[in-house]
Amino acid sequence: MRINQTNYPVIPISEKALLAKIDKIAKDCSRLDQYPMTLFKDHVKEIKREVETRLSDSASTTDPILRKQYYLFSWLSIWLLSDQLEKFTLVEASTNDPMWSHLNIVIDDLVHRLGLSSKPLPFFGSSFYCTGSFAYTERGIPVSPFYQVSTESQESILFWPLLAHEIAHLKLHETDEVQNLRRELSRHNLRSEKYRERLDEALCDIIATVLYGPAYIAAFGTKFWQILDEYHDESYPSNQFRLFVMFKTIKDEDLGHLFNSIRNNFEVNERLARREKISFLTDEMIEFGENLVRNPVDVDGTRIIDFCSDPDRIDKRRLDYLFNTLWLMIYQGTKTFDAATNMAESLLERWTKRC
Amino acid sequence: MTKKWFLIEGASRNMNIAMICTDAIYAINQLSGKPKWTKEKLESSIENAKSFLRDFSVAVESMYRNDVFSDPFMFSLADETAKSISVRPKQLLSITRKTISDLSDKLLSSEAYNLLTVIIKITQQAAVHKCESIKPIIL
Repeated sequence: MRINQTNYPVIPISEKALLAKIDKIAKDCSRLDQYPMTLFKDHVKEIKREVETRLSDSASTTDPILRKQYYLFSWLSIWLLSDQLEKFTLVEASTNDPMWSHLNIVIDDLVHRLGLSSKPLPFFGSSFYCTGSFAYTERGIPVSPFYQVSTESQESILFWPLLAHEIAHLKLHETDEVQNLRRELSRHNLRSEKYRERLDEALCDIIATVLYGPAYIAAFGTKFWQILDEYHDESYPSNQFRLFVMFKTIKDEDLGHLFNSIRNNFEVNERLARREKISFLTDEMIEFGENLVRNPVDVDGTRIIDFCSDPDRIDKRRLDYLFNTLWLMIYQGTKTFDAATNMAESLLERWTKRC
Repeated sequence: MTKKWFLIEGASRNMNIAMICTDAIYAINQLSGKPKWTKEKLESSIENAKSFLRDFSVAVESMYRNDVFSDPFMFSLADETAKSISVRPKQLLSITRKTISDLSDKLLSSEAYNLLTVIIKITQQAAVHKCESIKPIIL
């Protein structure tokens, strides 16, 4: 990177304009009075307070570099906030969808089982992704984490285990221990950021598999397996490796046998998978993922077989049983995809009403 | 769509480091007159910068030692900083240690000030670049 040596002075009117903008956003959000919407209102308040403090510091320093820096920080903070505000309009629109309360059951399950510090605001967007804000409270910017997570609005509920991968990204962001694995990359001369991103992706797949077991693999494989062949991005581990670590994460022999109908659909070649540069960390990554999840998937093969004949009996809020039973039924051919989707919706509807 | 998360996380991490260094310089500047900040905020700003620079010095050492390792982000920052001020890693380590020492003494030599402002510039530009990749920031 070339360092830009210019250092234009800050124009005071620009500072006033920033203050006016954050003030307007805060006023617009003051109407929000119900949880979890208040999470966004509180976040806006924090950003507003931070920006006001920084711009006040900017006005009182005589060092042009510091003044510029405080201004830029404020500018970028509000810019990121605007991006979150755009997503928040989708959150608000999503609350009118009856499925939004079902979505919250899944998010709450993941937040609890991963011990995430703040609940992400879920919404129906155009794909599965997470976004958020600063969470560097230990030193530097004293702003609490704020997260948003999108699920693909037109997609079946059966794909919601994919949200586990997104929430895992948020958890990694809060977990210092992941630095040990990142340092291992350096030890093996993999110092580029792309390897750090690949590591994170593989860890999120592992964590998601620990959370939802074969259901995560089924959702992932069903949605992405064919497209993965055509998709090459340096930020992601090889497709063979991703599936390889997911299957390797499921250790329970009985469960593995039970889910052979899913496994057999995806041709995973260990030799090809091991070509991935970060594959030397496979065992350490799986151990890390297993230790990170408070309550891993805990489904019993016999009960799943029972539930396959009567999914209505699945215990309330046992999402691991719900998703695994239904995906197994689809891959065994005892339930169509549409019927399984309807069953999932109906069970979540019942669980929501009971709350 | 994880790319967006990496960009936001990267932008935030860069902005955070830029602010840590900015706050440290401003804290030291205030000590020569009547401080605007509380004593606690002055102290914590200086300590935050020292803590960051300790991590940074590990990354600098990892550039020339085979038995020292840092995460890719800090390594990249150390590498960019060395290039920007045209020094070898060992010299950069010496400047970093001097800066930590200066901060402990609640002063900033021109060398230390230069290091912190270069890190501010690098991280600030990286933050802007990552934000631009999320969505356009300029017309």
